[in-house]
Order: sequence, then C-alpha cells, then structure tokens
Amino acid sequence: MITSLNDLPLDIHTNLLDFLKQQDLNNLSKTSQNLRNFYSVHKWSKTFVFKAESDRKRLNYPSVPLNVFLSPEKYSWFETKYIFTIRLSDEICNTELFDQLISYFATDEFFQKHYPRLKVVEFQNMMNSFVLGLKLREDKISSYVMNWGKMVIALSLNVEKDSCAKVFLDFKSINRLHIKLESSMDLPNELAKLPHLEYLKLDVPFQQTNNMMEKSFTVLTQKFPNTINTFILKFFPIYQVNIYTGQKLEQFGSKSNKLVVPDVTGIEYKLVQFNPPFVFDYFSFPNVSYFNLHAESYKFTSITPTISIDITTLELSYYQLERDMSLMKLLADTLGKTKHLRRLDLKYSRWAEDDLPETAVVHSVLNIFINYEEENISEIIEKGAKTIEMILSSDLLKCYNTEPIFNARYEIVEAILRIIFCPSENTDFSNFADEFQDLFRWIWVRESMFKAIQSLKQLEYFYLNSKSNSFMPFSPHFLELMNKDGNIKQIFVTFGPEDDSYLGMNMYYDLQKDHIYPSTFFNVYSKLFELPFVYCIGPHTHTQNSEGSLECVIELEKQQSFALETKKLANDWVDNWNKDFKVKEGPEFDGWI
Amino acid sequence: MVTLVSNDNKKFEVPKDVAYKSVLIKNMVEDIGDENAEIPLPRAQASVLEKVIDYCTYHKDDPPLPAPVQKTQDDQPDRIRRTTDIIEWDYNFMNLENPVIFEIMLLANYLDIVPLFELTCKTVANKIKGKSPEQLREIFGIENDFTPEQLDEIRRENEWAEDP
Repeated sequence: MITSLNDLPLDIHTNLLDFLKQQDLNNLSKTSQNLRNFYSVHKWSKTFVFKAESDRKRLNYPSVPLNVFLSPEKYSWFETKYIFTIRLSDEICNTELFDQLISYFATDEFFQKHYPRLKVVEFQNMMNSFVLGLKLREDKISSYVMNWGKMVIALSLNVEKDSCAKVFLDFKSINRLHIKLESSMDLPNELAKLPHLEYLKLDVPFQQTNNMMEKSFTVLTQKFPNTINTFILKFFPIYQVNIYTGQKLEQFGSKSNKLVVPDVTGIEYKLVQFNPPFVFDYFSFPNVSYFNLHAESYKFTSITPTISIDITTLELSYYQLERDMSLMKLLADTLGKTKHLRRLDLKYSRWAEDDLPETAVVHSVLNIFINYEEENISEIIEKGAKTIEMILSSDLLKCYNTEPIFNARYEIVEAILRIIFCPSENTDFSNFADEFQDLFRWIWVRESMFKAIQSLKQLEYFYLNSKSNSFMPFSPHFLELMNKDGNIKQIFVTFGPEDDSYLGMNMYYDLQKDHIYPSTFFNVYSKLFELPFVYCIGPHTHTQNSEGSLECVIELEKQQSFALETKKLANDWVDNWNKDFKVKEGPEFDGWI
Repeated sequence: MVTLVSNDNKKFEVPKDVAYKSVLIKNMVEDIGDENAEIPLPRAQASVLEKVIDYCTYHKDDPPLPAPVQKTQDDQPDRIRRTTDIIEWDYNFMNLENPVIFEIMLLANYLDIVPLFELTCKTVANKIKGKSPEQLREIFGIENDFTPEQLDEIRRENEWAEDP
C-alpha cells in the first residue's frame, strides 16, 4: 500500500497539477528529491523578472531578479527550459543590466539556448519595449506591431490598463491581439504578417465633448486579413484627441451617407455623458453580431437604434432600472425585437426601491400570479391576499410599518393582476396612496423585462450578473418560469453575499412548498442549484476577493446536498462563454491578450 | 450482473450499469463477449474495490463527463481547476486516511473511472493547498531526503539579494 504522496506514480502527479496553484507547486518542490524533480519543472511556466524585492512580494508566482534571468546557467535551481511566459517588471529599465537585456533580443540565440519553450516576453512598461524597438531598428517604427526576424513586438496595447507591451518570440504563435488604434494607416498590412491571427480587439479612443476621433479610424474601412474571425472594436471616451490627428465625426460620414466599416464583428461601447455625439450616426457596421453596452439605463435611448435585429449577443453592463416607464418600455421592446439574440448578459445594479418592504410583497405575489393564468380570478386574488398576510406576519418585516399594506392587500393584489395581464403605460393607479405608486411602477418594469426576455425564443444563454443577492431582479422561481419552454440552455448567475450597508430585505415565495423564505445568499444559492439549467458561478467580482464571501461559498459547496452532479461542469461552460467573445482570462498576467 | 474478482480472489457481483462506470471493465466485458464471465482485476485489493463499487453505485445514473483533453509537454498550463465543487456525499465518501485515498486514486485511474479519479485528485489537492513544505511532509508522510547541498540550493532560491 502506498502511504506517502512521494510514492505516487508521476502520471498521477501530472493530473494533480491541474488543481494546484504555482505557490503550491513551489512548496511541493521543497519537500523531497522526488517531488522536487517533478514539481520544480512545472512551477516556472510563468515567471516574473523583477528589479526590487518589493515587486516580488506582490506576486504569488515564481520570480527571479534580472541578473538571474540574464545568466540562468549560473543558477542550477532555475529550470528555464519549462518557462512559457516571462513578465518583466516596469522598474528593470533603471538597472545597468537593461542594455544587456535589450541586446539579447537582437538574435534569438539567447532565448533558444536558455529558454527553448518561451513564447512571450511581456513588458509591464510599454516604454521599455519601445526602447527595444528603437534599438533593434533605426528606421521608422510601426505604431502597432513590429517584426524583427521571427519576433513580433506589439508596442501599444490596452489603454485601460497600465501601458504595457508584449514581444512574441515567434510570430506564428500569435492568434489573439489586443491593441490601440493609432495614427497609422498600416494596420491591415502589419496584421497580414501574422498568419494565425484569429482574434483582434482594437481600442478606439474618441472625445465625446467636442465630437472628435482620430482620422486613422478610416483605416477600418480597409480589408483586414481573412484569418481574423472575431474583430472587436472597443470605443472608449477620452478627454482629448490630438487636434492634429483628429477630426470631427461629421467629417467621416453623415447620417444619410454613413462610413461603412465592413469587417468588424463586435462592438463594445461605453457611454459617459447624457447627450454624447453618437458614433453610430456616422458609421455603419453591417457585420456586427456582438454588442456590449456599458451605460446607465437612461442613456439607452441613444443606443437603441443601433441594436439591430441581427445581433446575436448583447451585453448590457451596469444596467440600472429606473422609474421611467417609457424608457423601460423601449428597452423591453428593443429586446423583444432582437429575434436572433442567442446570448444576453445583464449586469444589474441597485434598484432604488429595493429597500421597501413592499418589494417582498410584490416579489412573492408575482411568483404566484405569473403562473396562474387559467385560474378563477377571485381565487387568485384570495390566494394573493393570503400570501401578503403570510409575508407581513414574518419576523423579517417587524421593523416596518406594514399596516397600510395589510389594509390595502386586496386592492394591491388586484392592481398587480392588472399590470401582469393587461400591461399598459397608461394604467392609472391614482386612487392608491402615494406610497404605492413606486411599487406599481416597479412591478411594471420588472414584468416588462421578464416578458421581453421570455419572448426571445432564440435565446440560449442568459447571464445575470448582480452585485448582491438582494438586487437580483428575478428570483429563482422567476428564472424557472422564464424558461418554461426550455429554450434557454444555460442561465449563469453571479451574485454576492448580503451587503451589510444595505437595509432592505427581499423575500421569495416558494410556490411548490407554499413557503416564504428570505433572499439570503444561502437561500438563493440553494434554490438556484435546484434548477438544472442554472449555473451559479460564484460571487460577483466586486465581492469575490473578500475572504468572507469566499469562505461562505466554500462552506456552501461542502454542504451541497442540493447540488446536482451536472453542476460540476459550470465552470467549464463559463470558460467557453469567455473564450468566444472576451479576452482570455486567467489568474495571472491579467490576460489581456 | 458482472462478477469482478479482486487480487485476493474475492468476488463481487455488480449490476452492469454500476460496473460500466469503469471504461476498462466495459471494454473487457465487450472484448470477452460474455456478460457472465468473471473479470479478474489483479491490481484491485478487495477492500479498495469495495469502496470503488460503493462510489459507482451511488453515481450510476450520472451523465458521462466530456472526454478530457490530452495534453502534451509543450502545452501551456490552463487555468487552475476548482477543487471545491464536491457534493456532500462525495465529500463524506472521501473522509478517509491518505493511504486509502491513494489506493482509490490508483484504482480509479487503472479502471478508468474519470469522475472518481478527479474526486480523489481534488481531495488531495485540497489537502495540499496553502501548506508549507514542513506541513506537507507531515500530512503526506514525505521523508525529507535532501542532501545538505540541495537544502542550501533551496535556501538560495529565496535569497536574491545575495546573488552575484
């Protein structure tokens, strides 16, 4: 019998690698000779090269100082032949060894000798790679990518992160590129040198305040390499475009004669002003099937005409429902028109009314009504009123004055019924007290969204992203009803634990068990697990790094008597989701290419 | 029913859908062409085989997992897989001493029962995570067999400031 980890065969250890962080590999490599031989060769796959000790402490993956990187033959413990990626600290240029480093890029001799599997050298500071470019070639340097032998240097990259750059040691290994649109018209020709490029994301700066963009935007009207099957433009607002290299939007095209951008397949767009100049008035993108809108809902009117019937993937980021019923009608109508929509990503933020005790009433009563279209109307009203009584008697609402709701419970139920079965913007609730007006608007909004999503018969994937379980627009029961026809294959849900600063409390009514439960993180997570097509993918990104929330999830997953076996695959499906349209993500190196 | 014979000659009568959770056994039965034939499992100890049958019985109705991607040495490591997605029954099932977990791991690998093999990997990985080299030696019975020179080399990994 094997009694020690040390004695397990190597193929078993190979499988263990998939589940371990590099820090764990590092620790295993320090336990015994046998484990050192195996794990030390794997722990170096991504290595950070630093100048100062303070850099190293920020990281949880292997790191070496620049002098070790440049003279690896002196350090027997440094297993260079297993390194795939090197990231260079932004401070290394301040060392006397920097010139030596740059000189090693002149040929591939150094890397082939010491780092045979190395594919990418990443510069945390773009200026360092710019210096490299200048040293290698004295002629004019391309703004985008630069070839040197088999090497390709991507000089200017994602503007939303710190300026940084990558050197690909073999241009044939490049299949994804994320760069910023610069003042050059060479882009298609430069990219044509990369034979395996499949994914291109371009950051396009534009100045909303004075309606200007770089003139080089017209380069996008050119033909791009056929190898690119995903071509995403990411528009983002900046304070100032260079007046010498920029021009007004109306100089590119007009509303009647738009500039056609033919090869782009996806757009990410961020609105920051109430009345921005609108790039979609001047450009048309006939092949766009993916649209990511980052905006508050009140700006939705500007975007709506752009969301065409042909769009298959729509992401509404940081979406916030407002009280404006006509706007919500527009959103619902727009969603309803996107008949080819296959993926919908709704990042949902706080709803101002969620701290009203009435929301608990509404949520629970809606849960009953929405599934009881055929029943006798007086029976439904009676059932609704009884549910309200049950909710109001809950300990969770003791701190509120619920007497007005109790007294008006039959009228409230009738009003909710009218909204559900006869939705109309002009529904008059003036005979109700003011405190109920917002309540009814809230029901209307949620109902419209619900019905719009339910009407999307091509919708296969729905991603509901909320910061907190309290802000979930749809209860688990709603999601079940939303998919009663079974057309949605997968609903992904991300939400966080209870927000301490949040005073409100939602409650959900469980129709099957005739039971009311508070929408605590545990309850919602458990209920969602019972739905075979819903995949909880952990806490919202804002809370996932909090130790408390992670412990909560781990504890829940340990106890998961409610978890179906098939849910184990949820992460794999989410990975596939990300692979299709998003930048590949990973635990290290930010993954911006 | 399929009859499995352990290396200590103990026989286990197992329903076909339970036995077929093992790709190896399924292939062997199909190769022999006789569903009633005894299947000898020379690498399986009776006590361990019994545990594996318990697992397969509980999970007999699970859908099959997708085939794992074959990796080569030149493949870059993918993102780290989760180890917390273990259901309660499996969690309790794996509440065993390390040597028993290792034996189940080896047998699951031999019998080609992917979900059980992955469960054992996750269980062992959970025990490894966040532990220091000294703790790992204690938990997993690893003997510190480094020479003084090797220990010195390990120590030097962390002493950047003293490097030439």
